[in-house]
Amino acid sequence: MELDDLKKDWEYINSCNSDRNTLTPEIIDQMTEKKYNTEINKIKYAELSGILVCFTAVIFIGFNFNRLDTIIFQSTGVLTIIILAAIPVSSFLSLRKLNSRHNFNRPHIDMIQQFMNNKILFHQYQKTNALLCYFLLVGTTLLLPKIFYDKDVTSYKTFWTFAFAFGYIFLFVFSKWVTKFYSNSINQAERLIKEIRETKTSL
Amino acid sequence: MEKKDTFIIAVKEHEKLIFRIASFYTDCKDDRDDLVQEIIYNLWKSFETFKQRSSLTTWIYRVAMNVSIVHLKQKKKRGVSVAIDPQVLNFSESSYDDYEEKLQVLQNLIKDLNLYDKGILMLYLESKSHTEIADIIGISKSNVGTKLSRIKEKLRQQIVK
Repeated sequence: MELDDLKKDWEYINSCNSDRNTLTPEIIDQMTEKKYNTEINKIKYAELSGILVCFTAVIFIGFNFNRLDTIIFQSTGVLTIIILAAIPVSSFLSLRKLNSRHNFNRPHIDMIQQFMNNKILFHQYQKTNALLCYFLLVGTTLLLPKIFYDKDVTSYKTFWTFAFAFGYIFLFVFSKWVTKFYSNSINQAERLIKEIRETKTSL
Repeated sequence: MEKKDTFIIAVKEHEKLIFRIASFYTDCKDDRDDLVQEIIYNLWKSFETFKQRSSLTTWIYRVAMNVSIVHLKQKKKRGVSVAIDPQVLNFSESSYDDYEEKLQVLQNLIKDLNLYDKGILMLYLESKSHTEIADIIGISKSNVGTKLSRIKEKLRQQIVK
């Protein structure tokens, strides 16, 4: 199919719509007033639950910090708290960047470039979060037996070996999936940005 | 005349254009209606900053296409939509099937194009001149010609596949 054939099809599609008179002044008026009262959407709910879980864990570790009696446990506790705080902050920042107000008046090529840059940044945040989860797994594996039973991880060797191994495998598969899921999209975005840059330098 | 009234008249005049852009960037009716609403909402938000440096039509193309690419990413996170009455679509059943089929073929052909190519192709299908395409996209006239040849080649390869 040539571009001209495609053009004919497009003209046909539009001719089907030529009698369409859908928008009344009332509907247009409603549309300009619309929504954003449901600003908290599905993704934000997921992010908010994540933030809640992380901060509950921070409070839990904080309240039980006196049980961490050695410098190793205390350092692990501090690091775990930092990671637990960093994950939701990172998610929040990436979401804010993605949902930031766009200037739709600008030339289309600039919009695509900004959009692709945001996309890459968002994916990088996701990858960083997956990496931080590895450290979190080590931290929680060390801290939980100490906080709950005042024992170190060596006291329940079998249980914690399995728990750690299972957690590690899960994270490994999950992070592989995250990387695979995003890498194709990132490559496409990078190719497009390169193409746009080349176009702009030839202007 | 109030600003809102001027805006409503402008949107009414370009209603078909907005629907065409929404049809091009979406593949089902619900998304289409949602995108139309999103475009109108953002046109209204940007109306104040419309400087009349370009024509109203060029500005509407630009805003609508920019909104569409952001909407593609966010379409799963829907807010409250203002429903568009299906009664006003004025299709007979057979012409509607034909319309949907042709639209589907078009969507399948363009789905692998990147956003940059999609934008240029849409304006070409809209019979815009190279100068107008260059103005809306923000590239030079000669780049438009080069890009169109490449898009043509990409589409040809896709059909061969």
